[in-house]
Amino acid sequence: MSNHDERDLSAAFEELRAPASTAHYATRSPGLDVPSARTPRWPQAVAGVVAVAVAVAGAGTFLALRNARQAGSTASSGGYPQARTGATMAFDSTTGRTVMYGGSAANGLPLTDTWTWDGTAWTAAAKGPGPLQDVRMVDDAAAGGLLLVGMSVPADPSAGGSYTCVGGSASSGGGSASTGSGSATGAPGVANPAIAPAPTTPTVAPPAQTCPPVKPTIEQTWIFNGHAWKIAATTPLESAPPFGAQLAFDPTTKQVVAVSSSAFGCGLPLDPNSGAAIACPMLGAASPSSTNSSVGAMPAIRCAIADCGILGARTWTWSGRSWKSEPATVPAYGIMLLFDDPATNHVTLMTQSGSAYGLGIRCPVPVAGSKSAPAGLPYVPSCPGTMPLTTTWTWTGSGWHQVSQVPDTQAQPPFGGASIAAFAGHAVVLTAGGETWSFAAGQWTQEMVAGHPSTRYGAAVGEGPSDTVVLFGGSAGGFATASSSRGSAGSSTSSTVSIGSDTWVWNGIQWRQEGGRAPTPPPVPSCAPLKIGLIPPCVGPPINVAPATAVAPQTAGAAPSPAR
Amino acid sequence: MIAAMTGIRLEGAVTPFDEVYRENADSVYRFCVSQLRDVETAEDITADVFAAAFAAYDRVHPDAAGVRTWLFRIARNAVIDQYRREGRRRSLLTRVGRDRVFPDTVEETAEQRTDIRAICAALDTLRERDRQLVGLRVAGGLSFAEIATVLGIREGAAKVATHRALERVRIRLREQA
Repeated sequence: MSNHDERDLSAAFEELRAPASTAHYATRSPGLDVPSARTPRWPQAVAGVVAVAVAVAGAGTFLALRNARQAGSTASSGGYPQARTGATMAFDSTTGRTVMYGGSAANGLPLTDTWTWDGTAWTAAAKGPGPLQDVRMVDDAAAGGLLLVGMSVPADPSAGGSYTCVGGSASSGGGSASTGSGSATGAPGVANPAIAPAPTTPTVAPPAQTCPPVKPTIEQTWIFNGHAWKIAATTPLESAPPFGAQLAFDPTTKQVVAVSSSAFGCGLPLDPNSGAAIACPMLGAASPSSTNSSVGAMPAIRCAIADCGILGARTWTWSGRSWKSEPATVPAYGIMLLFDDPATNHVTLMTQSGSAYGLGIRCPVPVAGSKSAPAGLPYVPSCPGTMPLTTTWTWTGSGWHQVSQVPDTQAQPPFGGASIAAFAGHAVVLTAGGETWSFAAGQWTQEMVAGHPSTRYGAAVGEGPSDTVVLFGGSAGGFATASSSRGSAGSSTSSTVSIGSDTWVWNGIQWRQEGGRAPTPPPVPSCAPLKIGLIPPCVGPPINVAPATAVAPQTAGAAPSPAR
Repeated sequence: MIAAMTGIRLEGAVTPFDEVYRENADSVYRFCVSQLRDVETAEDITADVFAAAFAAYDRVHPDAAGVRTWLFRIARNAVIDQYRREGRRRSLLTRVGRDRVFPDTVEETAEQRTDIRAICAALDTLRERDRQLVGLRVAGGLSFAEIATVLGIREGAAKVATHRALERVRIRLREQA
């Protein structure tokens, strides 16, 4: 912008005069906090003495506080959420606070606690529903509450028909109350949500509790009114946005829109003709720790690969009482970002193919680590001719309008594993590789920031108070992937996965850590040159390999690198 | 407090507050309008800013060079508090079409109202920090050094960030046109 433009803008304001009422400062009751006029500057001698004293006397205190923080606690009287991944987060426009629910603890068990973030500290709120997998939440501004969707967790046979859950306990360790009993008002087999007292001591790891058995594959929809949770719908899985769906609120149509893609994930492949879910042979149920509500994150591959690769994104809207499957589908594929786009006042859907993860392709996705498909099923190792594209769609209230389709070689973030939060005229994307991008007026801008959250998956990300973005936790150390054994049952999570408890705030210019401990990535494999001078291929962090263990080069089909 | 109320300039004392008000009231008010997009709320916030500043003036003792940035720091905090009180509801109301920038009762020409309304609409689509940068620069009339002081950042960073924010405003205005 030229100076002339800036002068024009200034000129528009120049005729404004402060109203006479503002001159009554002497008789008006001051209701604002007043900052100091300058930064206090102590005399150097005094400052030096004090600095030495503080350094010596406070070292122990500092270390203790740091250790306490890294253990997942802060000095806040409201407590601090324990480490987790796959939690969901949304800004509650009614209360002006960000709400975080659920996720999975470090031991892989689902959490059922609810926390609110006021811009400075976390506070334990009502115990949430669940345990639920694949939780997703959105601010339903038209209804004045948060809408939560998640799958009920199947009973764990090893626990004798019950599922062991953690978090939200009313024990001395803090957290929120858990009745552990069936609900009189909630869905069958779902613990009764209750208001929990704020913990008096920092929450580190509440003891496990045994929850009542729940029916598997039931999609539950809950509403949070700022104080308590209320069940809104309990539906069969095919009657609600399925595993991996994303939610967003459309300010213009005042609809909550959900979009699910069957192009990857494959947990619920859809018939391209009828749109109905197709039963698929399971390679194994996803472990709780493998659920991941992060936008675009890679879910566990749960079906035989022949069922993958079906194109099309399915759309749902929330009527206030039930989910409606919209006839509108998007003939797109790939990794999606769905968000309330301030530039259009509509929900925007972006799909990106050809990402570094090898997802979003038209061909079947092989199980990570496996070069071959289960017997009798086809395997397509690559997809030649598939043009990497980013396609943008706008929700019109009854259908999708394609806005653009550009090669994803242009400057834009890789969607795989990315998280997005939209607010105040733009959207912010944090990629799995730690890049921060802004999307405004149809343009991407990579923010050059010095410090940012470390590489991770499954972080809960949402709008924060006062035009900020809040991030909590997540996991580092590799994807939770299905077993690489052909046709074997059960999925496994890498033993090197680390779960974080760190809180980060993006203020539009920089990320600032507000406590907690980041997930610790596994050591980068060293690639010692061979004697003949060749450098062996070095692919990503090791999976299921103990640190300091020699790493054999991985071959095709191995877990992809998180870096683009 | 006595010096502030009487306007008597004592030796070593700071500028009388009535002079501070005269020199800064308009710019603080313009900044509040640019941030809040609501003249009535901006009037209230401006009045609060000067009432708070007046009450703390003798205690804080801002020097002549720093009083302006001190006022804008109060104003910025007040605007943030106002945003926090109203929350996203305000943004949503604006986005769904309830524009309340300038009612006809405001004594401005239609052309001026249109200009400011367009600028405020463009500002409202920016992130908070960008909105503050542009408001401090074009509505408050602050230098980059003063903006840096108000926001607690380096002058160079303030300059770069302000130019980027102004560029975004220009894009939005072009789109609106």
